[in-house]
Amino acid sequence: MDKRTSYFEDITLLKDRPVKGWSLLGLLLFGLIPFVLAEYQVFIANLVLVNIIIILGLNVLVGNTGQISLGHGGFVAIGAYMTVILDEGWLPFLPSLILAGFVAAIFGFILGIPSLRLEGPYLAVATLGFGLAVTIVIGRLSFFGGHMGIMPPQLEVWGMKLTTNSHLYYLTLGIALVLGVFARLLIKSRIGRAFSAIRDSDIAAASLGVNVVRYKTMSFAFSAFYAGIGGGIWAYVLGFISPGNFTPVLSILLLSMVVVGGLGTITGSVLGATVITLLNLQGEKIQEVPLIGPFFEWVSVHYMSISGLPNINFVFMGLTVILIILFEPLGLFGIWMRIKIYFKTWPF
Amino acid sequence: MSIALALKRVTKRFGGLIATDDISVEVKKGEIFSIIGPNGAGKSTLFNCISGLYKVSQGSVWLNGEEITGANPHAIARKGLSRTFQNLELFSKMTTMENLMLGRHLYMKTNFWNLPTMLWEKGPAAKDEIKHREKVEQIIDLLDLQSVRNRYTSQLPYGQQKIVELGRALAAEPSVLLLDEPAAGLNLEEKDELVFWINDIRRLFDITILVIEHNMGLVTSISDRIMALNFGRSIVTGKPEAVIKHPEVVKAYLG
Amino acid sequence: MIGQLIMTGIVAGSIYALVALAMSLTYKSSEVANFAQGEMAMFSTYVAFVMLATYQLPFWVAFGGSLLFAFLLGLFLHLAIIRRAKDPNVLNLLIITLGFQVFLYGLAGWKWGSEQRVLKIPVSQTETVEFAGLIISQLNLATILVAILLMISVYILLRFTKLGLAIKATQQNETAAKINGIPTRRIVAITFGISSVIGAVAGILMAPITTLDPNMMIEPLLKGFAAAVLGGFNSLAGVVCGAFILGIVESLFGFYISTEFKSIVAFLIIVIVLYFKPSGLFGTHYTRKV
Repeated sequence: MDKRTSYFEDITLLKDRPVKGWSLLGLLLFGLIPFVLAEYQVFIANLVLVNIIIILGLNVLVGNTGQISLGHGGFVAIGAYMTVILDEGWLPFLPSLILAGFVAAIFGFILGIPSLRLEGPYLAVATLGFGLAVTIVIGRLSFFGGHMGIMPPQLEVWGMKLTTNSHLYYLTLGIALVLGVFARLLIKSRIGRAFSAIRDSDIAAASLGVNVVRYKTMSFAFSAFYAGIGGGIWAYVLGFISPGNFTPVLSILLLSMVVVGGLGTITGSVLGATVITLLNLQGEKIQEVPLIGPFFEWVSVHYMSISGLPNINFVFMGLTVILIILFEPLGLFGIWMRIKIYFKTWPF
Repeated sequence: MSIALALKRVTKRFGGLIATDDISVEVKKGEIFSIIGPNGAGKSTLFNCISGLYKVSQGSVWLNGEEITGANPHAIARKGLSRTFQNLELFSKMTTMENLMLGRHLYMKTNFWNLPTMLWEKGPAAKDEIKHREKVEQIIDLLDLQSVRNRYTSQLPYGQQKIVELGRALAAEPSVLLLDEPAAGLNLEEKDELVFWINDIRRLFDITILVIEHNMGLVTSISDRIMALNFGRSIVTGKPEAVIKHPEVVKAYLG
Repeated sequence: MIGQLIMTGIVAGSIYALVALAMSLTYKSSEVANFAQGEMAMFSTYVAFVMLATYQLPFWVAFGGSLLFAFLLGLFLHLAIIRRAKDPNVLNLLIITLGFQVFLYGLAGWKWGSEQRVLKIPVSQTETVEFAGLIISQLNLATILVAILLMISVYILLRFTKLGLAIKATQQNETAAKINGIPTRRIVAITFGISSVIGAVAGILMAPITTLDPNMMIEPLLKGFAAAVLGGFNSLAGVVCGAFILGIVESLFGFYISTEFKSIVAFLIIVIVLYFKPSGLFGTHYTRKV
């Protein structure tokens, strides 16, 4: 290990040359995606980025602060609808998106208030109820397009019309980077430490001067902000949103991304969001996968039902979550760390 | 000499149970004051009342001449009180360093709005972090924690966990420090070190220390004064030699 | 009118009560809030359907077979999955049950598709009984009676049998129970089985009302869970009261104020109640001692 000259090196983002090199390479690869992949695959990359943004926030709440939320779909919905509605008549896209993030954060703050006194299943139910309520209210009010949903207007940033998935990709990548760096700074800062302290022992945290009430609600608001931003972009990626996009299933899916990726780490958030999103999309079209596809088709015809085959997606999703918790509680991040240690100590 | 901590007729009831009954005491600045008593005498309850985890049923608590009765734990911490816990309340999924840095929480200024300035070395948030990191390093040096700086506290041996908790309380630079059974579970060697450190801490920091302890040898060797409790009531308060010879104390301890 | 509405509420409340009872039984014995409870019930109901429709077995055989299946499924969930969790904290356990829920949901969807089926049971939905001036269908009456019967059985089981005593001992202090020779793991597994059976009964009672499809138990589960939380998860009597309160309030709200927002009102009440009583209406709150 090289000699450290200042404590700053412990908190800096890019610690040493290898890290700097890898980060640069990673960024380059991400930047090249629209050149290499087909339009539909870029669309999928956009979905992945959106989920990464949402999970970055949710992981701070679940992984760092130790709170449960089964209602994050609600914040995503608030962000999506607010962005579209503001963008339609009042503001340009970026201010709409940011404002929508703050509106989601305010709802997060409000939801955080009952959470102060609730734990475990009680908190799960309260947040679940919130998520359901948001979807139902949106579905019943014609202002939000009701059950039919709404379409976002033409995306325009600083006078440039963004028409293709690739354009949207670069915008989303930029936002994801900024939010990722911010989340990382937060975790390493006084605020992130206070979050983790509340998770490990709220009593000790309070006796050291952490205002538990303020930090718990702050954590809810923070994660809701990320969910809101993610939702806002999601609306434009999909090109159409309706209440059906924001069911409790979405909240469960988001929570499983956090767990599968690994609690409380940025790398975990990125891995979890990526893997689960891809798995989820591929699972819906399992027939198209070589080898496995025909096998499952055969199984379906003989033992199950062919019309129900897309449901196999849920089977995989459920199994993945169960297996991860049974065998690797640190999630994909844990596996990643093991691979890293293996190569560091190779050939021993 | 001025009073660092004063309890005025503090009573705490849990339903029908009276855990501490009408306790009054004044602890002078710079004193090491011990509380002894058999199990269930109300010692930890008293600490919890002082640090705000319990709301007192009657009476009042004063810290450095200011009333803190009924205040929240974090507000009391802000006024200069810090404590350790009987059964360790470390942040177990955080490293020693992070635990100690949390002790500096009160003094740090980083917030959401200046967080991005942590990116460059001269940014206010980065400077804030570095400044307090230096303070924490001093405590690490004082308590010989260098070797476990980046270990998760749940992986440390029990004795070392107790030291980390002491360090965390010290990092908050309290004017009054409450130690709840600091020697419980330590071996002989660690106990000797603890006496040494407590004396050191008093010498280096301008601090008042309250200790709950069962180990009589340790109590008499460090304390300026001792209060003995039994069944929630204060039996006697005074110099160590006098208290341990007091007939009621002898009776309470020997049955 | 109001009597009729209350009756409707009690019918819905009976279903919620069964789900809530099942959930709080497992929660009490193992601190697992089992989100898979609903899908386990749905799956068991499908098993009854298969025995009835495909194998043409008599109803009572199918009913018994379905309950047996439910019991085994409960044992499986605990023995093969929950007990093997490496780091069994509240969050992980909750997510495991969510995973199992999604898994069963997918499996049922794969096997039986999402088309709606009809479960034939020997109680009529259309023929009504008049009772104290109120009109109630045979099925609804049966629902209420079966629910009450099951609640009484659970009460008797916990109160008067050796197994019940062992369950209660395990709930209160697992270590002490183990030291005193109670096979706590087996006991917890059995409570999972019993809960699953209670859920399956709810499923079979539900199926004729809502038609049988993989989504059938999602709402009852949420409501039952909400009812359990409303009543206070750790008090069985409280849980049942919570379920009836929820059913009745929902029914009245739906008629007098708005059917559209009927399902949110449940959660609104719960959030408000929990804000003032964090452990529900009848639950006891424990604070951690330091």
